[in-house]
This record gives sequence, C-alpha cells and structure tokens, in this order.
Amino acid sequence: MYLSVAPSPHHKGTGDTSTVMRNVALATMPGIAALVYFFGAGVLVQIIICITTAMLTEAAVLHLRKKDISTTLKDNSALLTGLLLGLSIPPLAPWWIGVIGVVFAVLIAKQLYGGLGFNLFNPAMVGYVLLLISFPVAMTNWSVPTELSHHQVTFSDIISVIFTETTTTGMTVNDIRHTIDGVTMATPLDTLKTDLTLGLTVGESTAKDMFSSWAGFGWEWVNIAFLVGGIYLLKIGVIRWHIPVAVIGSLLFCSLLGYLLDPDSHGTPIIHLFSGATMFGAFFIATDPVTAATSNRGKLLFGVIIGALLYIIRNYGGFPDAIAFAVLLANMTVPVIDYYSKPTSYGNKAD
Amino acid sequence: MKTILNLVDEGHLWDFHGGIHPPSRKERTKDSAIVPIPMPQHLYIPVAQHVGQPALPIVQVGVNTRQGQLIARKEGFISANVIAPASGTVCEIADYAACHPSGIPTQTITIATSTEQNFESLEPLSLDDDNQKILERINTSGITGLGGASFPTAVKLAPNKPIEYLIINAAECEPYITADDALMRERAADIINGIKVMQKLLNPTRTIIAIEDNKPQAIAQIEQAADDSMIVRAIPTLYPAGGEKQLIEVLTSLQVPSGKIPADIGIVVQNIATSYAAGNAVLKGQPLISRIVTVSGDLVERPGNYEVPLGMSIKDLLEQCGFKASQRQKIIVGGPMMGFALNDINAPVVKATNCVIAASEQELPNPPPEQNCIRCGDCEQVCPAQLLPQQLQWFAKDQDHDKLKQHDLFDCIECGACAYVCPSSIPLVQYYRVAKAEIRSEEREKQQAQRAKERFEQRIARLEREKTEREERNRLAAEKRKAAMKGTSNGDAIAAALARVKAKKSQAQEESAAPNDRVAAAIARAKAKKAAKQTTTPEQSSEDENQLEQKSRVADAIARAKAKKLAAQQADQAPQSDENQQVAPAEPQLSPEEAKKARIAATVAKAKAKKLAAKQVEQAPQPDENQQVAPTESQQSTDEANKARIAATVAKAKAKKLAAQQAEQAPPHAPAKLEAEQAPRTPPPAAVESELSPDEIKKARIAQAVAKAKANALAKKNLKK
Repeated sequence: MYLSVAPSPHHKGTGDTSTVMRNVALATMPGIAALVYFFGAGVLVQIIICITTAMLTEAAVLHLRKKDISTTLKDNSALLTGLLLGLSIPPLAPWWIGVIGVVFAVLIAKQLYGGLGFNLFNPAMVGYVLLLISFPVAMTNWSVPTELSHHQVTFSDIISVIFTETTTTGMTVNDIRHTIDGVTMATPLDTLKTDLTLGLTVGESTAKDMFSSWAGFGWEWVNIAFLVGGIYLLKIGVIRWHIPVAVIGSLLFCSLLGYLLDPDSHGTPIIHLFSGATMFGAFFIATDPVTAATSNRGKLLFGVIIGALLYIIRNYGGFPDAIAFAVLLANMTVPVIDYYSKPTSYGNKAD
Repeated sequence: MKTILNLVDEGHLWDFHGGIHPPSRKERTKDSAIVPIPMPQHLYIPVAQHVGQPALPIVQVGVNTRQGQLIARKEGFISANVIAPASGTVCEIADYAACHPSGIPTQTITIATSTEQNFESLEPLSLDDDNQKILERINTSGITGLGGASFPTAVKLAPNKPIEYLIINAAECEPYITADDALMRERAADIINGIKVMQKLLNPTRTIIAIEDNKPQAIAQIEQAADDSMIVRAIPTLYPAGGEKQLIEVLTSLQVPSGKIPADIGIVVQNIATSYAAGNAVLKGQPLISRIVTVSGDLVERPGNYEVPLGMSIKDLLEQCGFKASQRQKIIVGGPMMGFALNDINAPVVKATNCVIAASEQELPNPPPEQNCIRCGDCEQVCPAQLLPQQLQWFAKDQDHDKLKQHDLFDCIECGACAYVCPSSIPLVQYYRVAKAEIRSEEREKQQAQRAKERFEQRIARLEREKTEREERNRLAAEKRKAAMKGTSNGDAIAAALARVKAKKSQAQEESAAPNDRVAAAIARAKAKKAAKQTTTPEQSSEDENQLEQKSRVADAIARAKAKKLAAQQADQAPQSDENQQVAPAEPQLSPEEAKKARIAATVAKAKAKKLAAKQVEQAPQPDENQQVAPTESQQSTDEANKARIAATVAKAKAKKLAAQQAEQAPPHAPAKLEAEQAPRTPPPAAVESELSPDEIKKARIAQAVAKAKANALAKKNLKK
C-alpha cells in the first residue's frame, strides 16, 4: 500500500499564478475595447506583436537557462508583460518598436534578474521607458481618435503602416494623424503641456477639440474602461485596494492642491485622473505584485509615492505622462518601504 | 470606559488578523453518533504521547495488566502517566512505529488484550475535595490536552498566577474533524462537570466555552448543560479560530505576548475533550484510556465519530471503518491543515489523535510543483499571526537567520493558511519548520561551542599552571641537589653516595634496637590483649592486666627470637658463601652501604638476643610471678598459658643458641656491645609509650616497622647474593 506523504497543509486553495495572470489580462478587456473603439485596430496589432515577442523571448531565455519551458510559460507572466506593453505603445508605431521594447522587458528587466518574482522593476515599464527615451518620436505619435481623424484608415492601412511605415496609399503615420482641420494631433496631456509652455492657460488649452468633453476626447472613456477592469480585479481579489486607492488619492490630492492654488497653469483633477494612463497605471501597472511593496501599509506608501511622482513629472517634468517613470522610481523605494513597514505581528505589540 | 470584562460579558467578539475558509468537509461525520470500537487484539501504547519527557514503563513483558492500571510512570515535571487501555498481557516493550510526522519508532508497550476486560477504576472524588488531591488525580489518570498538542493537563491547571479567563476551546476549526462536536452533542453533562473541576482548580473570573457557529446542536446542548458561571460563546467560523492564541484574541481582544504562555496574562485554555476526560478522572475515577476519533475521507466506507481505545493501530481502526485501500492514498492524522501524513499505517492512536483521514489523491491532492513567489501578498492577508510569510520565505531560502528572527518567525503557529492560499504552491510552512529547526540547532551549536571554548580555555590555563608548578619544583630540587653537591668535599657522585650512606648508617645506629623491639612488643601486646579479651569477662579486668603483661612479654620474646634467628641465619650463611671469615670484607661486590646495613642488622639482632636472654634469666627465677599468672590462666585457659610458656622456653633456647653463635662474631662489632649494654637500660615500652601521645606512638611505630622491613629486605638480598 502506497502512502503518499507531504508536509501540511494537505489542502490547498484553488488560486494559482497562471490564473492570477490570466485574470489580470482579462480585466484589461474593457480598456482594450475602448482603445480599439477610439484609436482603431492598431491597438490589437501592437498587442499581438508584443505578446508573441514576449512568449518567444521568454521561451528562448528559458531554453538557455535550461528550465522547463512549457510549465513556466503557462504562468502567463510573459503574456501579461507583452499585453501591458502592447497597450502602452502608440497603435500605429512600427512593429520593431514593440519587439525591441518587449525583448528588453523580458530579457533584461525580468529574466536577467532571475525570472518571475525576482525582478526589481516592472518589466513592461522598463521596456516602455527604453522605447520612450530611444524612440521619442515614434512613441509620442499617438493616433488621433478615429472620429477626429481626417482620413479613414482601413485595417490593411494599419497593417501596412505598422510593418512598412506607409499606408497602401503612401501616407505616413504623421499624415494619418492630421485632423480634419489639418492639424497634427497629440494626446490631451501632451497638448496641455505644450500649450502651457506656450503661455496658454488651462482654460484656453482645454477649449480645443480633444477636450471637447470633460477630460480629453476618448481618453476619458479609456480611463473609465480601465477603472471598470480594475474594480473587477479588486472584486475577484486579484489585487487589493491599497495601491490603486493610494495612487488615485495621492494624484487627486496633488492635482486638487495645484488647481486650487493656480488654476490657470494646473490641469483640473478630472483631467489628471481621466487622461493618459492614470487608471491603467493605478490598477494594472502599479499593482504588479512582484515589484510593489508587500505589506498593506507599505502598499499605501508605495501608491502615494507613485501618485505624487506622477503629478510632479506631469506638471514640472519633461514628459506629458509619467506612469512609467513614477512606477519605476517607486519600485526603487520598495526594499526600504518593506523594511520599515513590517506590520506588528501577533504578540509583539509594545505595551 | 468599558473594560474588557464588560465587553466580554456583553458578548462582544473581536477579530484576529487574516484567517481562511477552507471547505469544511464535516458533512460526512457531523451528525454521526459516537460508536465504540471493539477492543482489538493488540494495543500499542507509546510511552511518549505527550509534550515533555517520555514516561517510564513500570511493567515487564509477560505481566498481566488490568484496564485502567498504570503501566508507565511520568518522568519529571512536564510528563504524563500512561494507563493500560485494556486488560491483557504485556507481550513486548520495544520500539514501534510512532504516531508522529517523523515516523521514527519510539518505545512502545504492546498489550495482547484478553477477551474479558476488568476495568480498574479509582475511587471517585468530589468537588469538595482538596485541590491538591484533585490535581494528583488528574496527574495519576494520565490526562493531557486532547486537542492536539497533548500538554500534561495537571501542569496547566496549576498556574502560578491568578487566572482571569478559563477558556474552553470547542472551536474545532479544522476541516473534517467532528470529534468534539459529537462529544458535545452527546455528553454535555460530563463535559460541564469537567469544566467545574477546572473552575475549582483555577478559580477564574470568567469561564468561556467557545464553539464555532457551524455546530448549532452542540451549542444548544452545551448551553442547556452549562450553569450560570459559564459563558457559552458561538464564534464565527474562520480557520484558525481554534488556535489557542487566536481564540484568546477573539474572545478577549488580548494577545499573548511573544514567547509567553496564556497563563502569563491570566488565561488558561483547555480543549473541551480534555475537560471531559478530566471530569471523568476526578468525578468518576476513570483514567484516560480512550478518546473520540473522527474517521473520515473518501476511502472509508463508514466514516464517523468513534470511541477508540488508545493504542489501537490506525490500520485496525481504519479496517473497522471499512477502509478500502487504493493504489495511492494519504492517511492524515489530525486535520488537513495542521495534521501530518502518516508514513506507517501501523502507528497507534494516541492521546492527541482527534481525527484520521484516509483520502484518495483526488480528495486531497498533492500540491502542484512549487513556482516562484510573485509576492502577491495573499499569504500576508491570511496570516493569523500577522507575519509577512512571503518575506519569511525569501529569508528562509536565503538562510538569513537574523532577518527571520527580526520578522518574528517564531511567532508562526504553522497553521498553514499561507500555504493554503499561495498561488505559487509554495510549501511555506515547511520552509518555516526547517528554518526554525535550523535556527534552534544553530543556537544549540553556539551554546555548545561557547561551552567548549570555556572548557578549552580552562584546560589551557590549568596546563599552564601545572607546567609552572612543575618547573618550580624541578628548580627547587635542582637547587637542593646543587647545595648537597657543594656540601661534599669532592663533588663526584660516589662521594655523595658514600656520604649519604654514612648519614644513613649513623641514623640507623641512633635508632636503637629498642624501638624496633617496641613495635614488635606492641604488636605482640595487641595480640595478647585480643586473646585475653576473647577469654576474659569484664569483671576480671584487673587480673587481665597482669595476664596481659605476661602474655605480651612472651609474645615479645617470640617475635624477637624470630628476628634474631633470621639475622643469625644470615650471619651463618654469609661466611659459607664466601671464604672469608669476616662478613663485611667477604662481600666486596656489595656496596659499602649494603654491607654496613647487613652488619647493623646482625648487631641489632644480637643485642636483642642478649637483652632477651638477660630478661628471661631474670624472669625465670621469679616463681611468684608465674604462680600469680598461672592460677588466673588456669581459670581461663591452661592451653594458652602452656603455649606461652613453651614459646618462651623455645625463644629462650634460641636466643641462647644465637647468643652463643654471635658471641664468636661479636667482638669486632663495638656497637653491638654498646647496644647490648643499652638495651637493658631502655625503659619498658609501655612506660615510653605512656609519655607519648597516641599519634606520635603510632607514627613512631610505623617508622620502625618500615625500617625493620627495609632491614629484612636488605638482609634477604644479601642472602641471595
């Protein structure tokens, strides 16, 4: 009779890493849908490029490291890294942008540190920052919301632009980005930043087309969609409230403070919360468990740091959006936060 | 402001950090009644069923036991008696599979049970009895904590601090287990009686019986049976609410400080089955010989709550419950969260065994292979000790013992909640167990190393001290030798030796023969006294004195005579072995020292002989003395008197013969004459001795005896040569 012996506990809950990762990926669906709706199918193409590259890179590294490829790939972590980076890349960016970013993210930022769980920095954001610094033009050429676009872009045009840099009719990305008015269009946050440096007030800047609604055309819905996905993650317990709430709360506090002090040169809290990658960053990037602080108190502090950095860089830094920088800088503080935020364990309360 | 006590009275409950809701799987057995298991043919009773020192077997192989009889006595303060759960015969006392995760066999008393069971119950006590008597009964009955830890109950019931809360733990938070539930449903009255015993011993301010709210029937039964002094509290079902520390927090909001025990904050927690057993022991005189065990799992046909004699092998128990072995299975002792997988199915049911699960790998699958920790922090959310399990895991893998201690590894209660929720299937608890063991052994080693270091240093110091002492001794001796060398005219060794011999010779001369005589005389006297005592009665003591005198003298004479004879022989033989007439020159091979010694011995002997001769000549013509002695002796022992006389005569004759022989040789030896002249003048030994203290006499005698022995040895040596 064979008696199977294992250490206790002999019973195990159902959660596993691949489910966690898959749930995070699923929760991006509303956001993806919104992006596709406003910016076209290029989003999907970028995501596919990035996920494919991520899986291939991971498999190659695992092969070199003589690890079991299939079981590790099944943890879905490479998939998620590819997905998150794919979501961050401008929909019509050339294919090699995504490839370079993902290879760097998976190879350098993750596997060279020892693979899943050992990386200090959020791999997707490392890849993003590399791209942003190395290829600033390609990385800031965000598409115009299709509704505002002068041109009707077909799916074949998108494929053509991504892989050959021109459409079937010979247009470049910049041509496509012309609005109906013939003006090149940037993202709302970019526009706001540029306008402010040009001496315009926030009010004058937000009078433009892209601010036609309350937080920037299209972007507000993208942010709401990511917020919905994030709430889903909270609900199923994949992430906990501490980091998103701290990020959003901190950003809200800073932007409110800035807006109250000087409304002409500081965007409204609404713009900050619902433009750019705020919700995406708060729920999907900052909550990456591997690179976030561990204890609940630490998580709160970690989120506050991200929110504050986000606002500071957006307002006073050289970049219109700053999720990636804020998260990477906060990642650096994690060991210290962890050290000082250890909860008081049972029976160790100082009386 | 309300005190904690007010809040407790109001029914306030607190939360502990974390906790999980594993599937309870109690449905199979939660309604089954307690069924007694028939006595198996053999019982295997380990002597170590409790925390602390193993008990000491007090039965031998072959003896008959009665159910309830003591078979192993507790050893030390934290230990517990072991009681025979059945009548029968002790058929073996040997190592046997243990009911322990390690499976290492432990000393086990095997009883072949008889068909008739004679229960040996003790005289029931009552609640009016003395506390000490009740405690003694709990001790005698072998009661230990039946919730799983098996800590000797009597120790816990005699705290050295006043107790505010007595908490009866009936949470039974582990999945599968329903043994306490069944006990409460069916035997609530006995449980309450047991709690009353504990209340009497501890005199707590409040007694709280805590039951998880998933056992409504049990709660109802206990509420009905409990009296006003007890609070029955239904607590939310949340694993591990039944952990001692967590239960205390839920009921009182208090936390047991790290490294302390509940009694330190005025709390005693007892399992409900323990209070049942203690109540039976005290009030019914029934020692602990059986317990309720839940048998469950998908591989048993008749899962249920069974009353099982302690020592029954788990194999027998499972067979009674319709166990169908499959290809691979897990036999879990205890619950699935904190119990252990058995690696030998023959291990016995012990006091702590509250549940046996026989499950297929479908029901309790082995965890999937461990993956990397993604630091999700789920473990931290569920940890009832509010630790950072994932951090501990990293530190444990790094063997970073300082960090582990800093992160309170030793406050981990090993409940398994962290491992239960871990998405990466990391066996966290196992890492902590290993790390704890490593740290403990490291600390032990440190202590040992410290002790070894101290011992080594002490040894080095001692060797150093001895060395200096030795050197000092050597130096002093060398100086003495040098001084001695300088004292002699010529510095060579021979001269020194000669000088020493001379010194010895003169010493020997000074030590006259008389002292030697004295020794012999003393010995003789002692003998005589002994002989006299054997024959005389106490009233004759005055006569004895005289008689003694007489006897001693006789013995003296014999002794001396013998010595002389030896000397004479030596003197006789010496010339034979050599052509020369003179002794000293005749032995040129002998060192001058030896030759001289021999001569001295001869002289002494001669002198003694003469002295004796003179003495005895004097004695001979004194018939009054003899007449005086004779009648007394005749009264007691004519034989002895005769013997003495004969001996005296012989001695005299010998002495004369010797004197004659030696007279020829005597002239060259001046000292002999001198001694001979001196000898008679020497005061009688008794007189001399009377002036000396007994110690001095003794010393003198010893010195003389040694001197004589040396002389004899030398003489013999000479003879051989």
